Amino acid sequence: MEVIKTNDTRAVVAAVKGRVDTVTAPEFEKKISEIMDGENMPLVLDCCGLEYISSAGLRSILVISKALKPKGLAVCFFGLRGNVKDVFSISGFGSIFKIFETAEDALKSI
Amino acid sequence: MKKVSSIELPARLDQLHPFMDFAVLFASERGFAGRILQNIELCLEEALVNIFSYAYENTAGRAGIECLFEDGVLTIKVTDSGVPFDPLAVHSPDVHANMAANRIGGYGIVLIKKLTDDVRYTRENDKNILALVFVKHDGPEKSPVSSS
Repeated sequence: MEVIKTNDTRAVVAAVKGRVDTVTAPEFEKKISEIMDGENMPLVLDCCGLEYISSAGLRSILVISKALKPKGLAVCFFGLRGNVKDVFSISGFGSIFKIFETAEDALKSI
Repeated sequence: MKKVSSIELPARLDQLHPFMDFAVLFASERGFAGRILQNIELCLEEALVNIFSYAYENTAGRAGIECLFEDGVLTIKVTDSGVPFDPLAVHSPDVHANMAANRIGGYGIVLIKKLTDDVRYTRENDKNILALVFVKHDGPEKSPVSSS
């Protein structure tokens, strides 16, 4: 699992790569919280390279989202595929969070 | 090729990947691939993590998986000798409820119910047995859920 931050003027864009499962979810949460420390722009998660997510990863996303809320910051997603798309759909995350097809769509919404 | 294959390991999180590697190898050797293989992994992870977290409270214990493939049907039995617990009887969270009102957790069993073709719980010989069933479909891969 890797998290890579890229710069944009409208949002903090973080690309998640690999697998977010019960073993790697704590590390994912920590990396995102480090990236968002002191930031005042919303978070856009690039899921193009995210191959697998389990309920532990969903819990991490809820924790991240709750931590950003007091700062008035939202989190949105783009590039979901395969298992990740299914898991978002089944868990209802597709209706809790804003999901976009492309980076441009996500950034335009901000 | 053997029809049945099983493994038993300590019920600890550091054993998750060895368990999953074992089942993925069994399933992929029998032609499961792509999205359905990922769904198999996911259901197995959710079932095992539930055991690691709750089956033995504060004592050490073991977990087992038994993979069986017959007539195009893969059954993975996930077992533990911990406290009797039927995960299928647990109330599922309202997945469409507002996030603030929704407690964190509980998604695992929702995923298992949705992504298996069948799932059964039994208690036999002081063991919890959760059988995850996947049917091998021929033809193009379809998403188990409608796209949204």
